[in-house]
Amino acid sequence: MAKVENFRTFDVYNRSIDLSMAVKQIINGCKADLTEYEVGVLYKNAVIIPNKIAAAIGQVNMKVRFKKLNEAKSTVIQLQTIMLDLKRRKKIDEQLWQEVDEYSIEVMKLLNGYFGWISKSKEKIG
Amino acid sequence: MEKITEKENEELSSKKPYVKNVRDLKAYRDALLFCKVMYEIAKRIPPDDSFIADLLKRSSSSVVANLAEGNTNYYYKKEYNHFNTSLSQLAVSRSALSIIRMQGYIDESVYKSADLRGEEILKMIIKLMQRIERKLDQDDFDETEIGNKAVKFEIDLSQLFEKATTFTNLILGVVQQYPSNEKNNQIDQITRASQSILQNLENVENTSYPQQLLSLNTCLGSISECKAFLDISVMQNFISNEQYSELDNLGGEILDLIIERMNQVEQKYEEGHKAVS
Repeated sequence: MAKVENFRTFDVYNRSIDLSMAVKQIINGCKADLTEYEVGVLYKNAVIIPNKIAAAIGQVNMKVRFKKLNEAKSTVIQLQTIMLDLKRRKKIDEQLWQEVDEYSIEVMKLLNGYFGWISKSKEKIG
Repeated sequence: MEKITEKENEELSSKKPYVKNVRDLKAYRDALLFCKVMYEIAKRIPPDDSFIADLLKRSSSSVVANLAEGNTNYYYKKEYNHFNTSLSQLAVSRSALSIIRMQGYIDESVYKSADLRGEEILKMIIKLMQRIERKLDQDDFDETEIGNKAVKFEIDLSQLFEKATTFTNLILGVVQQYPSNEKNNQIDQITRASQSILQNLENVENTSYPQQLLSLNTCLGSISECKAFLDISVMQNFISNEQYSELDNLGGEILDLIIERMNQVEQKYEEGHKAVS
């Protein structure tokens, strides 16, 4: 049986938690300028990303892992788009946006790196 | 007529000699307690953050349901896949727990004790999966035996369907008294599981031998899933003890009837096979 990894030891998970906390900080800081819908969407996306990553790493089926990580990736892209739109409309603070943007880029890079690592391991086994 | 996919065919090649009662499984009992703790924690989360509270409840219920569904079916590979889903959902619960801790809704001691429970269940599920893998490696399944082969009486499909309809209707009735915030969680999941029993029983008629077994086997899993959700519901006082007993007994009756029916299908197939050869 393939080893069941501890998702908390993975950088991609830890950075996604940082991203989640940074988004929460924005929600708390700019709540007055954001609509209820915007708060809901931001919060939902921020929570979904680390959970999808944990669900992917914490089991052994490779197909499920790819699927869940892809879902996490598209949620990161969605979050980046929403954040950029909110920044353009001056609804969120530029500095806070910068922080979230940096975390989201980092998570994306780590996700891509993880995809590459899985593919290489598969090739080696094959 | 529905055709069996290649994946399903592979899953059907590894048959268990019998199904055990999931309530005898320590991992299942511990997962139920873990679910109870998650519900307690979810109560501490303010309504503004209801998304994470729902996620916590849904994922922990899913751990329980997948353990039940996996244990109550006749194919090792299906059992393995369900246990793997349990692992995945357990990771979601533990990840949500971390976020809740970081947001300060629970203190460190509550977090640590809940996470430790999760870790223990994780180890138990891994052991169960390793046991299945060892069985699969042995590769000497008893292909003929499904359960107690002595079929006592002919199981009429219409009688089975009638009982399953009563069971589904009773479930649809009791979910009305569930709290409204359970709409996307317990209500949705138990309703889907109960309807899956009827859908799969409908598939049993006029289908090939392996498809019949597969549909009946899925029915077994769905009933067990319903029973798992009933365990959670009675624990959370969503239903009374009387309602629980009535539904649980009826579910048990249907479970026994389906096992008998599966024996009949197997026996008929074997007789037909012998006659041809």
